[in-house]
Amino acid sequence: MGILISGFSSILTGLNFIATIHRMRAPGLTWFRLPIFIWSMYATSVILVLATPVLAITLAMVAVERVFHVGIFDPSLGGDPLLFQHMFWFYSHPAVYIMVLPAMAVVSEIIPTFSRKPLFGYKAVAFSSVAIAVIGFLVWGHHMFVAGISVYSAMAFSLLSYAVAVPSAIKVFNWTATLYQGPIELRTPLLYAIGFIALFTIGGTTGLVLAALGLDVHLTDTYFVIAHFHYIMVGGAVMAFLGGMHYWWPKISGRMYPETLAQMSALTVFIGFNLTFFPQFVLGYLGMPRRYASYPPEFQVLNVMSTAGASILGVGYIVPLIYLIWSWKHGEEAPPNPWRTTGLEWKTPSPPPTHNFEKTPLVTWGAYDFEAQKEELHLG
Amino acid sequence: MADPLELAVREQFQNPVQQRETSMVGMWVFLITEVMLFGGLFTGFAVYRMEYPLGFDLGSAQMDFKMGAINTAVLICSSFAMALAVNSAERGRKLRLAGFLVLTIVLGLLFLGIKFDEYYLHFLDHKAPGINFYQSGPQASSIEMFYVFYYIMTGLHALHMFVGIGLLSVLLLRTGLGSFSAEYHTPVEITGLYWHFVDTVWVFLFAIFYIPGAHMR
Repeated sequence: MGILISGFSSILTGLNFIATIHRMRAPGLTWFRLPIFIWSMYATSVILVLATPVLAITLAMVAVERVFHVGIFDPSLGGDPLLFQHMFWFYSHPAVYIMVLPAMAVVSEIIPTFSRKPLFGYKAVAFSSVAIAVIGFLVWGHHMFVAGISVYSAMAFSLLSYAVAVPSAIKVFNWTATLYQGPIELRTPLLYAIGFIALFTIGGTTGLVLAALGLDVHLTDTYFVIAHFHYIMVGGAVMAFLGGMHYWWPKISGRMYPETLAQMSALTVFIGFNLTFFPQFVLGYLGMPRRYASYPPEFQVLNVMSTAGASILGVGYIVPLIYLIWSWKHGEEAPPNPWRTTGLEWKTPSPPPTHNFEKTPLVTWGAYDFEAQKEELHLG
Repeated sequence: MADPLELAVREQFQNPVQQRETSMVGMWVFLITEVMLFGGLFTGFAVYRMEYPLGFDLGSAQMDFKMGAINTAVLICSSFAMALAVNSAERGRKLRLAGFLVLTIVLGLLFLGIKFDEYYLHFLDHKAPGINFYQSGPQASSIEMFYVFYYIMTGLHALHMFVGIGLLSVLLLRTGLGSFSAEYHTPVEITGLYWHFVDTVWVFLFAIFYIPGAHMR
């Protein structure tokens, strides 16, 4: 029931984003002037509205099965548990893109800002978000390679899982190309964004290892899988969340966060994260299964490293929590546009007034067009 | 006095056209989510129909084809009434709008009445899985599976009917209060979309539950 309610809220959120992006853009804000953030949120919303209802109905069927004790998925009552897995992963695989697409969105905003350059390959990055949303719907079977699906469908899912890596790689290449030879300013949000690129690349390439049918049979349910999805979900999504939090904190709270402390904790998070999860790749490859509390003595060193890393990571998360709360009251007052960047949100006071803009802005420039706003932003 | 047209535009919108278009997009996207919701059930039904073809045919033969057919006709008529209601709203004919809304609601209630009568007859016939299901013969458990899907899918559809009737009643109330005019009647239009969608789902339900076994009775 709880999941149904939160599912309904996901659906309505996605619906709201789609209707807003289609019909309520500011005058002059054409599709290809939209910040990549919006493109990614659009792709995320498409997944939300298409995938979540399937999870909802699957859970409703499970509930009916439990309450009335009738067969739907339970094999002892004539049901088919594989059908449940198919329907569950039809939602749950796209769900990981629901988490990582907004992270990519944040990174695509931070990188142009702190390298003072338009995003390299704007259209490629925009369409790669949409491509991820589309192909992401066709790869759910890679969670079921050992569940008893046919070899041919497993091969198809394996190939499609390779295909979904292509748009992600397009993004990574374009982000690095944007950074290349830019007047880079290493502020906290950019540190998190660079951390994201590094960790996401490791998470993504190990994803390809798992998408390979033969290897996956060996690695299924080992720590390798755990490490892979934490590199995407924590190294990717959480790093970008923290980056976005610092990037928009002045806009949200109207206050600046303490820069040096923030840079140090960004570094702590990066070190702690790698120490926690990198040993797990090795453990998994050596054959340590997931969901077990005990392990043979030869795995001791790597497990202790992982635990130590988790403690460092914990510190890295608590420190920002403390200084962000502190800065809400005591931080330095933030100007409307502390990063001297181009997005619309920076053209209104921090924090924004109730109606966001005193007067609806007219957009005459493309996203990340630093050249067009050179004088306004005092860029030399 | 303020322009009534201005009153209808909420603050986040620039003008009534934008507000109307945004509402329409929102409803269409919502209907897509509904397609996915019912789609999960149709997928499950298809999988088990392939797995237990005989039991599903026998189950379908136990359906009351006549009641199902009458209900289909009732619902299509209610959709027609809804279309006329939208048409009256566009032309600003408030009395006709109210009349057609009442007709749509009455036909919707008639549908639900017939549907629940069918449920009751199935119940008397010991065909309620999980409560009193009894069926003899080797196909008993797959016939039970057929009934499970029958109750879930038609039940979810009936739930949508209740929601629709609730929405229509609100529209009727707002018509009485004079909220709609030839210029502003978006809620009537988007509720109409929803109502036609629910009607369409029933046509598919009729096709998969009632028709396959009709010749075996």
